[in-house]
Parts: sequence; structure tokens; C-alpha cells
Amino acid sequence: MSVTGERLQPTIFERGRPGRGGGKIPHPPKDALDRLPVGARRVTPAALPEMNELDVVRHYVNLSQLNYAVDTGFYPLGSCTMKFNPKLNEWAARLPGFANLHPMAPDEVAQGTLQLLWELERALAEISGMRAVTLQPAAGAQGELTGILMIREHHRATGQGHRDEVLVPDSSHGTNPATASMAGYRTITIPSAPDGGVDLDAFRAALGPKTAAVMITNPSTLGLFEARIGELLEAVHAAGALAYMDGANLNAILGRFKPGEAGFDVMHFNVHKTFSTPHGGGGPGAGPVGVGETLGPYLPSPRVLREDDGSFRLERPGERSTSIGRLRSFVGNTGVLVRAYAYIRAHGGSGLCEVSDDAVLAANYLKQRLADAYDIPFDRPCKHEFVASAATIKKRTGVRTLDIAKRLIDFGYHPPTIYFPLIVEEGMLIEPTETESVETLDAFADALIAIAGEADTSPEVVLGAPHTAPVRRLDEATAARQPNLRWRPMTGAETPCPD
Amino acid sequence: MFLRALRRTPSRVKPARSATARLLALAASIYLTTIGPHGLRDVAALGASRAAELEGVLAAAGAARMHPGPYLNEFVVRVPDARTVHRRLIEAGVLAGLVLADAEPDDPSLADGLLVCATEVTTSAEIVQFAAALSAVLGHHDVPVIAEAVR
Repeated sequence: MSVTGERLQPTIFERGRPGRGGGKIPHPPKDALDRLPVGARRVTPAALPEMNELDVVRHYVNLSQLNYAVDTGFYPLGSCTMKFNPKLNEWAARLPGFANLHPMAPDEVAQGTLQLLWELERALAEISGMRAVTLQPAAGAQGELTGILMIREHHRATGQGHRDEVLVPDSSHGTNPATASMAGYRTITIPSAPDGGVDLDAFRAALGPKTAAVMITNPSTLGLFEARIGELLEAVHAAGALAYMDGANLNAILGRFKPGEAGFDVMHFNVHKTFSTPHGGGGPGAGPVGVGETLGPYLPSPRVLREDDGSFRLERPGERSTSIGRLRSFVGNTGVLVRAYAYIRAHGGSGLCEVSDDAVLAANYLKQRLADAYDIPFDRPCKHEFVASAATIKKRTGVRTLDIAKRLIDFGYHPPTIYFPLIVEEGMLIEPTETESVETLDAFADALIAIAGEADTSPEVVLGAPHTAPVRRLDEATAARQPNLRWRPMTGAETPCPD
Repeated sequence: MFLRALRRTPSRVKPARSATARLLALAASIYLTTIGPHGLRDVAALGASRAAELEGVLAAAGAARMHPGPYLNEFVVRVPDARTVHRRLIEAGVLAGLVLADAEPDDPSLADGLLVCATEVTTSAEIVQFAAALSAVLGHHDVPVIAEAVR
């Protein structure tokens, strides 16, 4: 890896100086720890850096600026929905009553949080057309597992435990087959139809007495709405199987399509994608799950219950014997759920509908702007994201999608998701989200069109990109295969300390 | 490292699903860097000091420690009918730790146990308030003794 250097900075361990940074904690009495046995006391101080607060602030602020963020620039990472996080959410989550509540506090001093969770469950049920919701799962993938475990429990409880197959389309998120495998199912991948949608005949042929469930993402990972969803769901239920909806792309259909009313039995929500909870920081997250009537009895415990007198309480251990049990400690990542709640309440029903409409409009606008310079493999109206491809550019110039993505960094943009979905050659999945202005969309389109031109006129510029990032092009294969995640102090310029 | 997402995209795992808690790791790193090695020790020592204070006044209020061994900043006190006492303390504005009859229902030796703790942010005033409220709930009225014990 080549490093340009000037924007990189030493680690906190290299910046610390002995004696710096005292005075932040009041001095305890000198004998405060004397009552502890000698053997339990630390002899040498922890090897932590000593820094004054200003240097700490500068260190982390400067580090944060080495990262690309939606707060600093356009971030059209398709399928990831790098959505703007309104600052209102942060205010709500930091209200002391929410932020300082101990997770083991008894129900009587947690009424506000319990009410918020109860109302959020109702709001998600209304948005999705589902009957009930659990907020427990810590992320979308755990939500998937929750849903599939409920499906498994339902089949066992109804004498259908022999069903051991889960069908997924080949455009599905990788987590779908992974989830099915984790729950002990065999995954069968169904190829997409030529128009990018589900191949109804292929699904019908694969459905049978061994099918436990079908997992569908709608809109699909190609950004396309599955127009044949009604027929597919009828076929699934006629075969005695249940339908799982991967709700990752719910942000495209708010107020326009209710999966529960369409006939899906269970779905998860990615609150970071649809309800603007933090995403780029790497969590914590939340992946609530909604269920229809069939799976209601199996929801994880404890649920938040409302008593006749209007008070709220958590279900007691063993209170609902049909539950699949607990998926996560306590009631989920409450701080994240407060942010999702704030977003939903700030927008209201019509506002959420507008969110999706604007996201769809922005994606279709960008798709049209790029249609002359790039291949558009599925040229029909898209939802919140679309696939473009550099397959023709690569044939003509040798410049690949990867190179174009790196060159976008020089233009000041985060690249889109590339080579996903896997079924598109030289694909780039572009998702602008609903909050970008037309000026931003135009500037991004201009950059991509300019890079397509560079591929013809000065391909070496594109092939050598990025030129302005803090680090040059990384050896990604080695980084993935032999990750070195440990920092060790250096005794000299090159010599690592012995372990 | 903003290229990580790109690095992950060719794999079967969709990049949007990183289900870690990296923001929490970041917060902890910044905290440790801010307080440093001596601050970390002071945090522990302050908590231990406040806990010793708490032990003294709770004993004076009629709730002595249940276990004789050393502790840092949390310990169990014996309070008959701890569940009821805990509830009445909430009415008095004190969230008095954990009722072990609920948290550890399978251990009969802890049936009268209340697990309490103090940290570096617990104030002496809060400690006195707790002890006074406990004393009142237990039917004692020796608040001056408690205030004396704090001193």
C-alpha cells in the first residue's frame, strides 16, 4: 500500500506524553483502594496515552475527516442506503430519560421508554401492514434469522417439520441464503427472469411439499419492483410454504405498498436504511421484524404489553409458551429505536410517503442522465436505486467499473456499490436517496460522464486513480485474505516491538 | 478507512449489513484517551470510595452487607422483603439497585439481597438520601446518625 502521508497522523499512543492530561477526574482519597487485597490491585498503570483534551478532540475530529461521510458529501452506495441522519434524531436519543435509563430498571420507572417502543411497534405494523412487530433483533440480518426461526417453529408446531428448503432468487441479498443455512435449511437459488424480476415459472417448479419458505426482496436488489408478487405469493401459500420479505428496500415503497396486506407472512426492517438511524459508523443497529397472523404466537419474548389501565410492562419469563424465546439481551438497541421513532413521528404518514417518492424520483432522474454514457441493463422505471454498467466501456477501453469507482473519489464522491448484484457484468448500483438536491445529482452525473470520457481520452488517469485520497489504491485481495488488524508500537522507524 | 465498503462489495455478503457496534468502540476509545491511565485509576478509586461511604450509611440504616469478602464498588445488603422495600424506595425517588429475589430467583441464599453500587458520579448527597429513605422505609428514624456516618 502506498501512503501519501500528509493527511495521515500518528496514533494516540504515539501522540501521548507522560504527565499530560490530568485534572479531568476529581482526585479520590489517597487510601480509597487500600481496602482491596494487594493482589487485586494494579501495580503498573494501564498503557494508555496521556493527552490533554484539546489534542484528543483534534485527533478524533481529524481522523473522522479521513472518512467519507454523508455529512461531508454525496454517498450513492446502492443497496446500502447511506441516508442523511436528521440531527433531530440525535437530540431525541440523547434526552436524559432515554439515554440514562438502565436496561434492568423495573417497568414502573421505564414507562416512557416502554411506551415509545410500544408505539414504534404499532407504527411499523401500520407502515408494513403486518399484525405485530418485535424490536429485539440487533440488525437486519438478525431480523432475518428471527423471521426464519419463527417460520421453522410454525412448521414444527403444525406437523410440517419435514419442510427443509428455502427458495431465494439469485438477485437476493447474501444474508438470505446465509440465514436459511443458519436455521438448518437447504437453500435453492432461483434464476431471475430476463427483465430482472422473479421468474414465476421457475419458482412454481421449485415449490413443493418440502418448501418451508420463500425469501423475496421487493423492490429487488436491482431496484425493480416485483410486479408479479401477487401471483408468486399465491403460489407460495398454495404450496403450504410461508413468504419472507426482506425489507431492506422498504425505503422505496413507504405509503405505496404494504407487504403484510400483499400477503407476506413476515418481514424485517432495516431502520438505518428506511428510518435514518446511523449507518456508516458501523452500529449499533436494529432490525425489527413484523409478522402477520400466522407467526404472531412465535414472536420473541419479552414483548412490550399495554395493560388495561394504560401502563406498560414487559412480558414475564415463560408468560407465552409459544415464543421462540429471546434473540437479544434486554429489549434491543433502544437508542437506535428512539432515533427511528423520532424520524417516523417527524415525518408522519404523508411525509414518509414523500420520502419514498423523492427517493424514486432521484434514482430515475440519475438513471436517465447516465443512459447515454453507460449501459443501463434493465431499462424500465426503477424504484430507489438502479444498476448501471461499464461493460461497453470496458470492451472499448479496458477501463473497468472498479477503476471508474476509484476515479470518482478524485471527483469528491463516494463510489456507488460495484459488482453487486452479482448477476450484472461490470455493474454499479447507484442509490441517491431522497435528500439530495438536483444540483448534487447533476454534479455527480457530470462526474460519471466525464470519467467515461476520460476512459477514451486518458485511460491511464482512470486506471491510476485515486490520486487525491489519503491513501492510494489498496491491495484489497491481500487485505481481505491476510488482514492485519493489530497495531503494535514501533521502537524505531521500521522495527516493531517484540510481542 | 473509507474504502472498506468497496472492498467488501464483491463478496457474497451485502455491504449494508455490518451488524457490529463500532460506534460504541469509538466512544470507549475516546473516553479512555481522554481520561488516560491515571484518570482510569481515579475513576475506580472514586467509585470504591463512594461505595465504602454507601456501605457505612446503609449499615447504619439497618441494611448490612451480606458477604464479608472484598469488593470494589458494588455489594449486596440484606433487606428483609427487599422487593417491597425496593418499590417503596422508588416512591421516595431512589432506584435502590437490583432485587436479587428477581435477578437470581434460583438462589435462596440471596432472597433478602439487594445489590447496590456507587460509581464516580454518585454524590454524597445521593448516598445520604438513599440511606435516609431506606431508614424511613424500614421504620427507623435515625437520619442524623446517617448524616454523621457520612461525615
